[in-house]
Amino acid sequence: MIAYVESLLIFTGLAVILASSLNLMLGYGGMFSAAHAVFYGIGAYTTSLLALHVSASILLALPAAMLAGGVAGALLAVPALRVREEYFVVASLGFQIIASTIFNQWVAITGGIGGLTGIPPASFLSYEVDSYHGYLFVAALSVAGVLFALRLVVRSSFGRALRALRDDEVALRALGWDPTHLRVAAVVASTMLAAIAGVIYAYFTSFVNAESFSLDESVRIMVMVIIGGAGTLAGPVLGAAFITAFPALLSFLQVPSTALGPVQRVVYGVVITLLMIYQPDGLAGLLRRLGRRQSAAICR
Amino acid sequence: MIETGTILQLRKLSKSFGGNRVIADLDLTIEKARVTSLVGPNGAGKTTLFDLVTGFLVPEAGQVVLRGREITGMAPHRIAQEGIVRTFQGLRLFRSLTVLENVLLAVESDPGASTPSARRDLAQAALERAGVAELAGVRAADLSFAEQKFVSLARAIAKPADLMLLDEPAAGLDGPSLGRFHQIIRALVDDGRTVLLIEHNLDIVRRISDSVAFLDNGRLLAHGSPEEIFAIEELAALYFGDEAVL
Amino acid sequence: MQLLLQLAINGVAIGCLYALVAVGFAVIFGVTRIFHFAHGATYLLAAYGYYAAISIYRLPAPVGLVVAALVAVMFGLFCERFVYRPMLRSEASFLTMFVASFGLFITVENLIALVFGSGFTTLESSLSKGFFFGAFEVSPVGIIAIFSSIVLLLGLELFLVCTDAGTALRAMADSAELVQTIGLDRNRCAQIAFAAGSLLVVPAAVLNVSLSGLSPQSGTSMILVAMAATIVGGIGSLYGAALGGVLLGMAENVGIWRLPASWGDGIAFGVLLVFLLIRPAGIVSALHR
Repeated sequence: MIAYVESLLIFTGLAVILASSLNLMLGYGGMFSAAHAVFYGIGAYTTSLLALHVSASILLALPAAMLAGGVAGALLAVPALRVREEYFVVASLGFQIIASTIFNQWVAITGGIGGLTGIPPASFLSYEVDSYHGYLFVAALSVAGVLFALRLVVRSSFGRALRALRDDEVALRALGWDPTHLRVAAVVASTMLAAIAGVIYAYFTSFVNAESFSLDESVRIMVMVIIGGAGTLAGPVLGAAFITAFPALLSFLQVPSTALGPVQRVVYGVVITLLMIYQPDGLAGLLRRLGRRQSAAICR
Repeated sequence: MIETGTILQLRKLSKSFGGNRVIADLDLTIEKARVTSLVGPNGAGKTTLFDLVTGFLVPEAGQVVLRGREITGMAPHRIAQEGIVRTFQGLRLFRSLTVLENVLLAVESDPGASTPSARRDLAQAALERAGVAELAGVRAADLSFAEQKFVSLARAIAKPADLMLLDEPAAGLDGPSLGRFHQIIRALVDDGRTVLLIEHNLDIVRRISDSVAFLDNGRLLAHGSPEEIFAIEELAALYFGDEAVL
Repeated sequence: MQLLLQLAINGVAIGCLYALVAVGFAVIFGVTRIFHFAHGATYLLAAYGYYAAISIYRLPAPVGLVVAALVAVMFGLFCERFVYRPMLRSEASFLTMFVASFGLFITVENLIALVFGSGFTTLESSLSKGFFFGAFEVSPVGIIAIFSSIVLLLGLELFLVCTDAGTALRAMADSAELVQTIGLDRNRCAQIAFAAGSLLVVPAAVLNVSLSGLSPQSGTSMILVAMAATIVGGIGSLYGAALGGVLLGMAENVGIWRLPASWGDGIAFGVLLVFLLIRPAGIVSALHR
C-alpha cells in the first residue's frame, strides 16, 4: 500500500515537472506545443543509454539529458517559429509524430517497440538509489529544483520579456528585443526541464519504450497545464495533481478498465471546453477568485 | 558623407500599398539635438514614415541613413539597438505588467550593457523624469489615459537612444499636462537627444519645435522653422481646408 | 516502377480526400480566423454517422450520406453558435479558443470510442473491390474520390464567386471589421462558413470509410494532415490547401515505396517540416485565392 502511494506521488512529481516546464512555453510564451512528451522521452532514452553502456551516475545523466533535451527543443523551435503563431501547434504535432516514429523504429538506439529494459538504478557518487523512498526523495528534490528555477526565470528580465511578448509583440520589438530569440530560449529552457522528468522515470521504472512518450502523453501534459491554469506557477501543480489523481479515482469507482481511457478523456475534454468559455484561468484562477471572495467576506 | 549636426537622413524614400503611393520620393534631414515636428493632414503618411524609419515597413525605394550608417530594411529590433526609440499612437503599453516593469524592459533589451542595479537606476530615473515615479507598482492596465501617455514617454526616455520618434505623444492631454510635457521634451533635447514628433496640436508645435516638416500625400511640402512654415498660406489651407481635422 | 505508379494513383485518391478536409478547414479559418481543431471531430461524426446508418441500421447508402451530412453540418453550426461565439463576445484570445476547440475534439473522439469501441472497423462494400485498368488496380472508391473532390471543389469555387453568400464570405475573409459597416451580419457569415466547411468533410469521411477503414483515431490523423496541408499549400489559399492535401496524400503513399510502411504518418509530417524550413509561406503564397 505504501509503495502504491509512494509510486503515485513520484508520478505526480514527474507530472508537475512536465506541466510546469510546458507552462513556460505555453502559459508564458504563448506557444502551444503538442510535442512535450518527446523531450520527456529524450531525457529517458539518454539516461537509459548512458546507464546501460557507460555509467548509471545521475550526475552524468542529468546534464546529458538536459543537453539532449535542449538541442531537440532547438530543432523544434527553429522550423516551428517560422509560421504564424496559430500554426505552431501543427508544427509541434508533426514533430511529435516524427519523433514517435523514430522512437518506435530506430531499434539500434531506442530498442524499437520493445524499448530498453534492465536499466540499472541511479547512482549518486557511491550511493545507489534502489528503494521507493529513495526515488520519492529524488523526485521531490527535482520538483523543488524545477519550481525554484522557474520562479527565478519568471522574475528575471527574460521572464518579463516573455510576458510582455504576450501583451504586445510590436512594442517589444520597438524596444530592441528579438521575439524569435525569446521564443527559442523559452522552448529550449522548457525542453531541458522536461528532460529531467525523463531521467527520473528511466531510473525508477528501469524500462522505457515509445508508448510512454506518444501524442497521448503530450496531450495529457497539455491538459494538466490548461486545467490547472496556464501562465501561473501554481496552475501546473494543481493540474498535475488533478490529472494524476483522477484516473485513480475512476478505477476506485470501478469504471471498467477498457473504458478508463475514454471516460477520463471525455471528462477532460468537457472540463477544458467549459473552462475556456467560462474560466480560462483554470483551477488556479478559480481558487484565486474564491480566495478573494473569502477575504472580502472576512473584511466585512 | 556626414553633414555635421545631422543625425537622420531620408533619401528618396518611397512606399506603396496596393496601387497607392503612400510615401513618394521623400527627402528629409533631421538635425541633432533639436525638436522637429512632423505635421500634415490625416493620411499624409506621417506614421508610415515612422514605420519606414524604424523597420516595421520596408521601403520600395530610397534609403534611411542613421548617423551615416544605412539602416534601410533592417529588422525593427536591430534598428532599435542602433539607437532609435519610438512610441506609438496607440501607446502599446504591456498591460499585464507594472509601470516599472514596462520601463525596465526598455533598459534591459541590451543585456551586456550594465549591472541589474544600474539598470534599475536608469529605469527609476526615467520614471522620475516623466513624473510617474509614484506609479511604479501600478499595473499598466489600471492607469488613466494621461498616466498611460506619460508612462509611454518614460519608457522611451529609459531607452538609451539618442533619436526619439514620438507619435502624437501629447494628443488628448489637458493644459497642465501639456506644460509638463513641454518641459520634459526640452529637458531631453538639452541633454543632447534628438526628438522627432508627429503632432496635430499646432500650438504645441509652434512652442516646442526648432523646426517643422509639413507632409501631405506622402510628399514633403516644406521644411523650416515654425514661423516660416506657419506663414505659408497654402499649407494652412491644406491642413484645415478639405476635411474636419482635430 | 509499376508499383510506384500504383502508389502514386492511390496517393492521388487519398490526397483528394485530404484536400476536401483541408479546404473545409481553410474556408472556416479564412472567413472567421478561428482555428477549428474540432474539424477533426466533424470528420469523425460524419464517418461514424454514415457507418452507423449503413451497418447498424441497414439504411441505403444515399440515406447514410444524408445522415452524415446532417450530423456534420449540425455539429459545425453548434460549435460556432455555442462555443466560439460566446468566446468571441468575451474577447477570448486565440489560444483560449484553440484550446476550447481542442477540448471539443477530445470529447467527441472519446465519446465515439465509448459508444462504438476504440477498435478499427472496415466497411465491406462492392465499391471497395478493385478492378484492373490496364496493369493498375483501381478501386471505384478511388475514382469516386478523385471525381467527387473535383466536382465539390469546383462547386465551392462557383459558390464563392457567383453567389451573394459566397461573396460575403470572401469579403469577410478580407476584412471582418469592414464587413459589418456594409451591413453584413458577421454571425450569419460565420454560420455559412462553418456549414460549408463541415459539409466538405462529408464525402471525405464517407469515402475514406470504404477506402481505409475507420477508428476513433482517424479523426486525429485527418485533422493533422488537413492542417499540415494548409501550411504546405500556403495559409490563406484554398487552392493551396487542396494542393497541399493531394501532395501529402501522394507523399504518404509514395513514401512507403522506399520506407517501411509504419513510417506512413511520419512521412507526411516530414514533408511539412521540410516546407517549414525552406518555404514557410507554402506553395501558393497567401492572398491568391
